[in-house]
Amino acid sequence: MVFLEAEMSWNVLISPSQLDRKGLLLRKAIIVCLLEDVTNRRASKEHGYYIAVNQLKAISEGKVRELTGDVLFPVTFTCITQKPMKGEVMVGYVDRILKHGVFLKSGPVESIFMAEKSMSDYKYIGGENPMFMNDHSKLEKGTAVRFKVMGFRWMEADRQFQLLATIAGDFLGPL
Amino acid sequence: MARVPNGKHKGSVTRPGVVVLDSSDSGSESEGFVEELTPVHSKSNGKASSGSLKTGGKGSSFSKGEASQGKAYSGGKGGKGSSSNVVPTKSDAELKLELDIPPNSKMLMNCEAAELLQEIHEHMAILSEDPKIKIPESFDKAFQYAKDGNHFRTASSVKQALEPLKKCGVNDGEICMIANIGPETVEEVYALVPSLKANRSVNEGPITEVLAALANIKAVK
Repeated sequence: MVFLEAEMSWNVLISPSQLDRKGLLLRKAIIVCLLEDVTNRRASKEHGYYIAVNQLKAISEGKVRELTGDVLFPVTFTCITQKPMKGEVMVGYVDRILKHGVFLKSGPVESIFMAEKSMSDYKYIGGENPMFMNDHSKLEKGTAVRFKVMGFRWMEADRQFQLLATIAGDFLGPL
Repeated sequence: MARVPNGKHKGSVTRPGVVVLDSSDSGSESEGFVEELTPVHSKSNGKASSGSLKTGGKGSSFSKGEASQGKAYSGGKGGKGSSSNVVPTKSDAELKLELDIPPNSKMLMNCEAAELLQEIHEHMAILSEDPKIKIPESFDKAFQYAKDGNHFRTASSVKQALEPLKKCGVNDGEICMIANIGPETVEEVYALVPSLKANRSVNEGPITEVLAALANIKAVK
């Protein structure tokens, strides 16, 4: 996951009760509204996971909605996001161990799968506390792993990414 | 599945490759990922299956692999000779960084993100007293990720230390990876960022110097 600072242009809807002659309260209302929107949208395919609203750069002229009296402001702001990139090196933690591979978690990503065939010489060992082992190290629940992102896909329904990981290669594997 | 009868043929040499590609566009859960894989990898899949042919995997094992979704893995495993394991190892390690940066965005190194999020976190502490204000659920996890992934004392010193790399053709993505990985040896850099190998003759010297500079500003954890 690479952190991005992305400039975005959105519209926010402010109710008349939040408007004030002094500019400061309007800024606050817009930031509160942006935070709420960002929280609700959670992530996008283009920008990745929304992490934080950083800077409110510009507020354009508002347009009054005649029926409700709300005012629509086009705003420009910067947002910190985190997006997966193919081929990058990341660190994650083992979450679940299955016979045919391991699920990892890393930052906001809940679902990172590493298939057994991407774990070079690691072999599955079942039992109460299942793990993958090779001659000198093991992967069990909670182990920190440095892996490479082999591929990812955006799940529109869940608004999140799924990643496919590999530790087949030098300097990859448990830390 | 219409393909099952094909699978029953005792695998001709060309068959396994076709089988793997077919199953990738069936759109089932596990294969969905295959769409995202590099062509290199799907090739290695093909090789793994042909490995199973050599080790005596019969046509029937293929028909099983393709008939039920998700079994494609076990199909490959069926013929898991040491050779079939070696092939993906090599191609996975060579997987190059493919950056897809959206317009109007810039990449931040983990150390920069950690400092920025730390600042925002301090503001949030005040803001979060107001129940109306929502904070993205990813914030805490990403903040933790940035802190864990930051190996250095200050972001500005990291930027300064990495500056010489720009002059020898190392791109921003590769520089960002080096800072995020916090490598200790030159070999580690080339193994994890394989795209740098192409210009090794030019960039090896500067990378060695940069690693020495980075070692000096490493944070004590």
